[in-house]
Amino acid sequence: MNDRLTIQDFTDLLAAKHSMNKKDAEAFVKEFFLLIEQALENEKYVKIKGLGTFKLIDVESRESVNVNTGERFQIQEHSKVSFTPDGNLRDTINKPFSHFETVVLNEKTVLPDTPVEEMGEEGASDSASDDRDLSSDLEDVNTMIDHPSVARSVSLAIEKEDKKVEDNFVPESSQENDYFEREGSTELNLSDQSEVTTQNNETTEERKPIMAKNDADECNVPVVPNRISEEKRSAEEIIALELQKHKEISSKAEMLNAGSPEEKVKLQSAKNNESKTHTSFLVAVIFIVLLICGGTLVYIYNPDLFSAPSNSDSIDMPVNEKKESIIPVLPDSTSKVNQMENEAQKVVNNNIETTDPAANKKSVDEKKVIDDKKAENVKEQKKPLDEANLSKYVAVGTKTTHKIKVGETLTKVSMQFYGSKAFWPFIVKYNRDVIKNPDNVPFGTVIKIPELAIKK
Amino acid sequence: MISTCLERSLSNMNNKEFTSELSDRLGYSMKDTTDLISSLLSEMTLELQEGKLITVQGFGTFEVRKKAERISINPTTKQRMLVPPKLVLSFRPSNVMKDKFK
Repeated sequence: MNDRLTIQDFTDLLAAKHSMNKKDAEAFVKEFFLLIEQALENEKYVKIKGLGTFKLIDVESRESVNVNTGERFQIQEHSKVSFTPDGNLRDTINKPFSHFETVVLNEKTVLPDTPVEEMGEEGASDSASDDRDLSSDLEDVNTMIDHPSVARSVSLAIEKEDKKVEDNFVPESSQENDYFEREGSTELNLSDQSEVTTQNNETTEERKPIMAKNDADECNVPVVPNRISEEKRSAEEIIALELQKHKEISSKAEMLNAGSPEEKVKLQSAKNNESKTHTSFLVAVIFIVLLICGGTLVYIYNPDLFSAPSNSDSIDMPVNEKKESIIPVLPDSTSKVNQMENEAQKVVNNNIETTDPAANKKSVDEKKVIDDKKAENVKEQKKPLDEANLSKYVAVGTKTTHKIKVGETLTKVSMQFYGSKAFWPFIVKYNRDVIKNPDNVPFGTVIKIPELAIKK
Repeated sequence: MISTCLERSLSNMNNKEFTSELSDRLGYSMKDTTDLISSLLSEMTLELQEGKLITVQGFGTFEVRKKAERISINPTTKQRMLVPPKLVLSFRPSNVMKDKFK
């Protein structure tokens, strides 16, 4: 046991250093620790420069449970020794880790349950996982080619891809074909690693939704087509925009995709010269199809993404206008009413016999109007609830009921009633019995909108 | 004022009092005692830095322990902080000492 040191080792060291008797050195070290102990006993607090502070801490008596028998028993009041290392000593001990600093995490940083190993390696591991993603995606495509149960629109595209691949490797047998295909993919990874990341984003985005779409097509055939056809119409504008946006990227990807197979083809034979132009064309077509599908799916699953801004404008604006229109009016009208009231009172005071009923009535009416306006004003100001104090709100009773329209989501409903998208969980909570899946509320569902108030 | 100072010196033992007491007991001069203590502690620090255990019979064990990194949340601001891992010197009193202070 070389790790464990006793007083013996230190007495030897001390004796050598100070040219003193071993006996004396041992006596010194023993006395040193004995004195600490005695001082602790007498005064409950010993501070030694260069080492730290020893303290006696009183522990109150408490009840505990015997783990084995489940019996309750009392732990007697006692004191225990605590040791706090000196600031200097603490720093020297922590020297290997001194370069670490406490970091404030962002709201959205999601850390896995297992502790993060090294901050520096994050980037490298990221790119590695990206590579894996790509290769797995390629494999996915391979399996998709094998499977006959692929949605028609996609299967068409994949058949084209399949053809392309076959064209490229005509002389090869089917098994070798597969092998080369994989090799090609890995080569792609290796040669274009810098650009792979950018391309990756595209491929993963596009292919995953397609897989999802296949699932959706197979599972909810009766529901989805309706929605798709509807969303598609509105999505077409967005897709057009997106297409323009992605044109550069797609062309880049096209180059990438077309580039490596072309090299191969050149190496193999001049036979496939004709198919070269076809391949690039096919790749372009496939990419456009993928983009359209991806865009549609993104729109289907996140309709808020595009419609929310306009929606919020349309809701926010009237509220603001109302406020503005009410606020300036109020003081005027109050002063007017005050005047009126004063006048009315004067009239009443001056000629009591002939009380002016009209003036009185008028003032009463004005008052009513004011009250209404005030109430309205309060209501309006209350509407945009504080998003930051989300947790402070509780549902207190039903405000109203609402029927979900086609294409409407809970976030939109929340936006409409509370002026903020963040409040949709309250609606879900309040409608547990009606809303089975908050991500997919069928239209026609009647939900109750809870009245929210700040918790006390 | 003076009485509070006295009280404190009685209840707490600081470094100076400790060395003077030790020098009295061993018959060394103050300076020698201070030198001896500082060299002893520097040796201990050196060994501890290498991750070694120091066991003192009848007193306890000094040990360097690694504390894993953790996420702490400031309860008032709800701010999440990643606290880095650190090495901490810990002291475990021996059973003899534990029993003595019970």
